[in-house]
Amino acid sequence: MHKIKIYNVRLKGLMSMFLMLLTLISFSAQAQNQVVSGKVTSATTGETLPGVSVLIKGTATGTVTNLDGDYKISVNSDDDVLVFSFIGMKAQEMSVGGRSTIDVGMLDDITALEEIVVVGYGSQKKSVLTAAISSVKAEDLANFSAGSVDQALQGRMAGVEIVPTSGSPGAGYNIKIRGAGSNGSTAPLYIVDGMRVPDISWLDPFEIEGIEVLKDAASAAIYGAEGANGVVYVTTKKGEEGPGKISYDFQFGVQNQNTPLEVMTLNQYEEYNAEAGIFRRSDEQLPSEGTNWKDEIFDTAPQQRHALTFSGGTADTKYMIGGYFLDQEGIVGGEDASINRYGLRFNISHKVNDWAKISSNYSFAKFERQSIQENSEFGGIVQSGIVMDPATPVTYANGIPSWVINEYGEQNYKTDANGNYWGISTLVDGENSNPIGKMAQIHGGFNATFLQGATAITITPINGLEVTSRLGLISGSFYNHYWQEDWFFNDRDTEGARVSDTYSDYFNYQWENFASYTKQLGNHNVNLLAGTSFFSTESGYLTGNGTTLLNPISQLAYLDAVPNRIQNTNAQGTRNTNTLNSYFGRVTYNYKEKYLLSATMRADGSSVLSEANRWGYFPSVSAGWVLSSEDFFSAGPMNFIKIRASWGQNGSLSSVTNAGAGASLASVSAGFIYEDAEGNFLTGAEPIQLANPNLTWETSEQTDIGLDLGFFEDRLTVSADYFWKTTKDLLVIGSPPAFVGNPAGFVNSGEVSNKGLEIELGYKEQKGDFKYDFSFNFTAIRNEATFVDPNKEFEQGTNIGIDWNSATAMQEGFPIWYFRGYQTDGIFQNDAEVAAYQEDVGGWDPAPGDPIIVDTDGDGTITPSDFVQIGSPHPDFAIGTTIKVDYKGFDFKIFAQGSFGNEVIMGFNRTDRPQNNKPDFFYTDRWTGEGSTNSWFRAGVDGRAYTSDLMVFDGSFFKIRQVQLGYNLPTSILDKAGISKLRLYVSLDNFFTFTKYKGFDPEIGGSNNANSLGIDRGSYPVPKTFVTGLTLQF
Amino acid sequence: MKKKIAILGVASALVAVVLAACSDQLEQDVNGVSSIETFYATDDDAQLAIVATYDMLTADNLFDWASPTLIKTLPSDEGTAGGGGSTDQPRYQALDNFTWDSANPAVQATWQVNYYGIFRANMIIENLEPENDLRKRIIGEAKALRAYFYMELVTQFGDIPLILKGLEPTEFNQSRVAKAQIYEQIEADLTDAVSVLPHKSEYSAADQFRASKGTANTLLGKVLLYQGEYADAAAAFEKVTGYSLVENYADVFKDSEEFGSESVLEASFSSKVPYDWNYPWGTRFENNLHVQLMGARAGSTPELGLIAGWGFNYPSEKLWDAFNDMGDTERRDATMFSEAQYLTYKSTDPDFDGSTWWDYNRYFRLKYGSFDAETNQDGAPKELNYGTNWRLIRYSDVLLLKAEAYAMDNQPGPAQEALNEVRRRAGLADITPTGNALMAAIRQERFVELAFEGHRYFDLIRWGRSVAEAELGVQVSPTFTGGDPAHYGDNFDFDKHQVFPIPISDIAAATNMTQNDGY
Repeated sequence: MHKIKIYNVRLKGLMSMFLMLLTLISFSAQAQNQVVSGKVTSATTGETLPGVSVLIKGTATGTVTNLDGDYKISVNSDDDVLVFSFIGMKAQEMSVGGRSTIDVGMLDDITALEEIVVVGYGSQKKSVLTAAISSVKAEDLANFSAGSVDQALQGRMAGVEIVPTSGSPGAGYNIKIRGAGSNGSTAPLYIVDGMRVPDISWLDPFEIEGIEVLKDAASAAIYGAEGANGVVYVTTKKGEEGPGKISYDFQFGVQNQNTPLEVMTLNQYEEYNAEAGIFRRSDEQLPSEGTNWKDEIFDTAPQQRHALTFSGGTADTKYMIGGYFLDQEGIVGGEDASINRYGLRFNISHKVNDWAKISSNYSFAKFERQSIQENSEFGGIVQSGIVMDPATPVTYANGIPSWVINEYGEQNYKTDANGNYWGISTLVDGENSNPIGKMAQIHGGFNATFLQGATAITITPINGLEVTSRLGLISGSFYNHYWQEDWFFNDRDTEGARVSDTYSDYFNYQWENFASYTKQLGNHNVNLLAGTSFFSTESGYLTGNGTTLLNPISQLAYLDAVPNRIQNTNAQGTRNTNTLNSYFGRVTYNYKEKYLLSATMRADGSSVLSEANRWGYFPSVSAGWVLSSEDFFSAGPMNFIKIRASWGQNGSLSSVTNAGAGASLASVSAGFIYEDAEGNFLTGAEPIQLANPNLTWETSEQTDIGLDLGFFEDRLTVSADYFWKTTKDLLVIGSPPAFVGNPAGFVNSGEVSNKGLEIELGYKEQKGDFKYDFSFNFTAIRNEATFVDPNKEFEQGTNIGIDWNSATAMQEGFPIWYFRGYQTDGIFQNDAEVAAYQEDVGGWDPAPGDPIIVDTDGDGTITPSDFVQIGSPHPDFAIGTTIKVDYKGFDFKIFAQGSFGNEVIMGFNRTDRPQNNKPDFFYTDRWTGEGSTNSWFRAGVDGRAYTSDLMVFDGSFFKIRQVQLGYNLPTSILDKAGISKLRLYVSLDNFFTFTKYKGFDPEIGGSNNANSLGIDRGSYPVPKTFVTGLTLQF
Repeated sequence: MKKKIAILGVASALVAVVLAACSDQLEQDVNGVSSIETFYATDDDAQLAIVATYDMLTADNLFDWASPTLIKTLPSDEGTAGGGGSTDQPRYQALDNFTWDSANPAVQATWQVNYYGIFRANMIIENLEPENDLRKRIIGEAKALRAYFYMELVTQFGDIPLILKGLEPTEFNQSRVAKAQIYEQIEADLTDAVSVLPHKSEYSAADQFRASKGTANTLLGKVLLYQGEYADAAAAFEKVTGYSLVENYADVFKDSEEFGSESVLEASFSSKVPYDWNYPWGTRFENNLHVQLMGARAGSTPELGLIAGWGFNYPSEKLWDAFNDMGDTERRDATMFSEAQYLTYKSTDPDFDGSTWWDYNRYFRLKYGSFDAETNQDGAPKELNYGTNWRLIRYSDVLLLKAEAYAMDNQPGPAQEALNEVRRRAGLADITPTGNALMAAIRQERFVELAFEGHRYFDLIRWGRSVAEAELGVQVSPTFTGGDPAHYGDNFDFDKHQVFPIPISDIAAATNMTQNDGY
């Protein structure tokens, strides 16, 4: 709260300064005979509208409304017509007709098809677009309690699937545009104001004007070798001509866990273990009430966000300057799993003269993220909250109990800040231990700073020709500091104190030069674009580890303080530069805005590929036909119809760059030892990788057929697309014959196809004070791997625990990274059933109550070669929908998202740790004797149950992401305080989830590895957040 | 208008500058990665590279459990696979039972490890300029090692691809060449190696692990012997000088005799790393984990210096009998001990019951045993840190090969001399057989002298169908009621089992490859 006060004080001073300045600008040049004045307000909200342009029709004479929405203009005669126009509003014309006061209520412009859409290196009117592009506007992103923009984009657009890798503050997102087009990274190319950026997590909603997602080849091909996963193009807010605006956003939220998962109570757990033949030490005394570890790890966590912007401008100079601060703590870990993010933005443009314009858009951001170990079945904090022994307390009030000493002996037991020893389980061991105690011993997080932006000069030597030179840069640095105290939680979970520091930084710059020529010849409209791009990225890292610490305190948790430093620390690091050189061009043509045609071509040369393979060429063509412009078209309720089609190719370089510098080179690594005849170690240098000079980018080929419809004068718009996209040359580890004598690095061998249907629908209506807006999107995608290395049955995916190897796989004819495991067919009810089964099948020794594992390969034995497809993380279809209603200053919004048919593997149970606690349905649904159930297994089940389809659950969900109610205070009140807008709101974000999944949260991005999608290793759930906020504008 | 032209001019000049500036920016150095093109340039590089080639001699776990030494031992009549049961390490069980197939991971691994060694040697031979004596010697070592690896492959697989350089991806689809061509290449490499390598005595104490003139001459004699060129083989063996048998047979396998007077080539393992239970499976370990795998599972036997192992590779009764038939207790007691002996140490062990042990023959192995003295003494888990070296070529092997070469060349005198040199060390009297009896004596001598050292099985194959079938194609009646009911002589098919199958993965990856008969 202290911070807010400071902002307010500064704000007032700045505000008065800007107001003075802007008043001077606004009222500088008017003097004619007859004066008309009035107030311009929004017909929807009633708030006054500053900056509305008021022009005498047919002349260049005009003015703009001031801060209070007032204008004053001299007209020549009563016949003059005043034209009121404002971005986002319908222009209105008013005849003067002898009036001296004309007040105007402006209506929102709801003609969606007239929107301007950003395409690569230019923009186009949506009605003449031949490509598949989805857009999100700033207003949809504002006021959502999202920690990042990616999260705010979830569910907004058809064909764009965004799943959080974790619900913890600052975690990343798994983004797929039109399905998983790669076995590796599916991340799209991100561009902010023309500059490539690694991601957009550092952007705050206040900075964003709009986001376009270029989905088909026709739109993405202009980005050639980097466009195969789609392109996310962010345009930041610019100042507008008119009086300056000051806007302040404040949001405060309270986050809580939102999960139905319950684990077994102490009594259930003891009973279950007894049935399983798992017993405690006889001397252990159980508490009367067990510890609910699930409740222990969760806590209420606050978050707050402030954003302050100044914007405005004259006809020649426009500015937008602002900053934000976000502070979010985690519902698990609190401050230990938190993010602080700060950002500053400075956008300015200036018309130098009649042929040159410069613009500069820069931002600076800083992250401070603390994180805990999560989504790991090997002792992650969230996983431990599920599996930890309920008989163990968080801390012991009276010293270490005797049974713990008897079990483990005198050890390095640790205490909390009050000197109470952390609870130690004698039963749950291995990597799993007291998650609260563990968090207290582990410390760390990262700091990242980031400067990004671009400066562009655009010159207009002749009419219709614009030549732009744009130089952009990103400079980022990253510092990760991890250290831990020593601990003993059990025999296998004991570690010494250590520290690990990593510095990395990168400097990317991009220089682009392009010319665009627009010409209208009668009914022929032509735009030609040609350009070059040069992109360089220089990055390096240095990391050091040290063990142990002189004293496990934060001040000594640095490498300098490690005792006997020369011996006890080590370091790694490297630094590399990659460059990309590109040439591109585009022809866009239309005849009467009726027949539309566009073609693009891009050539990319990359330094990460070998010389012979360096250049790639990526073409696209697209066409459209606006049927509704034909004479034969008679307008009924449908007023607009456009059919469009596109084809094109794109590359994906990210998989190659992710493979690392020198991925195509044969390399040698010196780092192992061999003992000579006197027992000294000699270092050896071994060739570790074969050369692959043929290494090249993944290439996608995509065809799209689309339909854009407008009904009821465009109040209802529908866009539908059907696409099929094949990505070939996926990067996999090569499998050369062994006699070649060395392992291969990456080779291009793999193909995946995505076919899908996307529908976006919007309906907007305004009736008097009542305005409503409905939007809906639908996506259905079929994903299938269509080729894998013929030497392998499948490409191995991720493992779960120590026994479930390649639980996901890429295999021809299956969805990419589908789930593999044992297929079950009910539960053995009695010994006779077991005996009958064992006549045909060996390899394991089941008991009644165990699942019947199907010998799918019919070889008479149960081995992992019996693994078959048991699920898929990909949804059959997904929907998103928003309903917005505005009425007299009140606004109400519901936003919901659903994903259907995707499956989840409950991966936090471990075959090798049968003593771990489990979700309570393991107890309540269990087989307890013949006939009790045929769907869930007994206590003490054979471990194969944990690598079977029984661990696969329907992960479908429907989440009401936001329910928000806002109120705009009436201008009549605000005017007196000099405020142009004050909106207060309350919001329930992620409050309602409907799912059958019995884990914490069905939304499981898994990790940053694509092959872990849908695997719940104890994933950090997305919190529900109660938000209050306000928006204040001057 | 002039202004517009000027602006256009500036714009086009800008574009021209950009095009020029960017076109040569695509050549970027790759840092932090040592590429093969820039390596193999200095003396230091050469030293680092040859160490990596030796390291393939110890790659017993690079591809999971697959010891090139144990793989050659399991099919023989020296012993059985053992382990925890019929499904414990199925790859090893199959090698014991003559049920191996082209997908056997251990067979695949021995193929792979030897070709990996060849690749490393090839890189040195291909890329290192022999501009000084050190580099010449290292190239000689690489050639000797390449010959060793090829000798292993040609013996175990027959016709195989002959790879002498780093292959481009377009050259991956190789075909097999006839054994004779492989032998020819081995001879050529060894002839070169002999000419540049020093005698073992000329190497420093630390460098005793390196291939020497003696190593090369031994391998040369062996490859000639395998081709039936007996006189030339004998001549090559005669050049293996400067070695002597260790006085006491039991000492040969002790740590003190590693790289000792009898050592011609060894795979060097270390007990010093020290590994803990977070074991880096599937990598190149410095220790010899197979010693633990093959250790007696009966529990520790401190009286013999043994700690408990994991129970693989039990000796056969046939081997026990072979020692006894020769009256050879010295080598027998250094090689194995019986259950009866064990029970004298463990008479108080009420839990001992071998009756259910898989593949157990009532004998335990001592050669390459899990000796406490051979493992880590500094607190690391002893099970995981044996430093025991595989003795790949011993001088007694050289003597017996020499005896064989002379015997086959109808020179019984020098053959007897070499044979008796080996017998004398074991405390056995000289013998003077001739003709078939001489070869029979040499064969039996190799059986007992070199037991569990990876020679026996392919010796039997080399000695021909009748010998192999007589020794291997016998359904040994169970000596013991528990465990494995029989050894698998019935499964032995000389035509098929005289070589291993070409790994299925390589046949899949290279369509020009063909399979050995019977697989």
